[in-house]
Amino acid sequence: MHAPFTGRALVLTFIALIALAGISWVAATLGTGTGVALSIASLKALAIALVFMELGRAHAVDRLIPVVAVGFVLLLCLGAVADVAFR
Amino acid sequence: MNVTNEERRYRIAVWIVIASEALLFSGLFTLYASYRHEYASAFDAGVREGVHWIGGINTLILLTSSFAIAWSIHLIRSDRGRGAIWSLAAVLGLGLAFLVLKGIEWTKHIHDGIVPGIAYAGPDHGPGTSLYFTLYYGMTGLHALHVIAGLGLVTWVFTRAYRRRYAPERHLSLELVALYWHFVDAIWVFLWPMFYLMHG
Repeated sequence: MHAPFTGRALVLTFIALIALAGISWVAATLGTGTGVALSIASLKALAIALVFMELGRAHAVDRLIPVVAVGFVLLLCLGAVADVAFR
Repeated sequence: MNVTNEERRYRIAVWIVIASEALLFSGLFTLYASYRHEYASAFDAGVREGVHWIGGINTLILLTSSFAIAWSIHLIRSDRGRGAIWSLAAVLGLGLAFLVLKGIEWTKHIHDGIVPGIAYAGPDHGPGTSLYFTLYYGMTGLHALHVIAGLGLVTWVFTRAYRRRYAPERHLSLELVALYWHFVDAIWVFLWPMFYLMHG
């Protein structure tokens, strides 16, 4: 693994996560829909994975499993969406 | 930072566990998406029935607990073990608070007749209402079980930190437990909009 994230990076990520949660809440109040809510959720999950789970600084081998897992999850979601779209 | 082969093996093992769990939850997410498409108005109404302040507070709780466990690793690496103990105690307190709030929410729902499956006796929002709440209990319940498992693991690393078993170059178990805890947080990040925010 490369050098770990600094304390400052952790704090900034935490502030960003809280801000994104606030934006989610406001967006839901304004009725912006599912796309916005899930996009913000994906951003938060990405920040957690890259900084808190340290994938952003991890060795390529360590990144392989989560990347493959996310790929399979997306494939599953794509299959579900295709099923609904082509019924 | 040097990572030994043994450390890498443990790390990969935990990532495999997390990947399997992610696939389990993604199956449920796609199930939710399919039924939401089928019964859009019932799902919108179901989301409106949620106790929104509890969903919001629980989100802040889990995000803060995720930061706290990441901070505890940062403190251990900086040779500030005492601070790490407090940080891990905060994770435990926040995790328990999450479960207490979830319990309050479920109690309110059950009191209102909102229970899973055929016993559902809550407000009728048309076809799909009972299905929505079955998914709600199933998915948030499964997540709560993960929080309970995570709290058990955090208690273990808290005890190790308290006994001064960790050093700047020797705290692998804490890192692995933190990975799991962050995953539990990441799952909630998606459950929150699905059951509290996406109400059309």
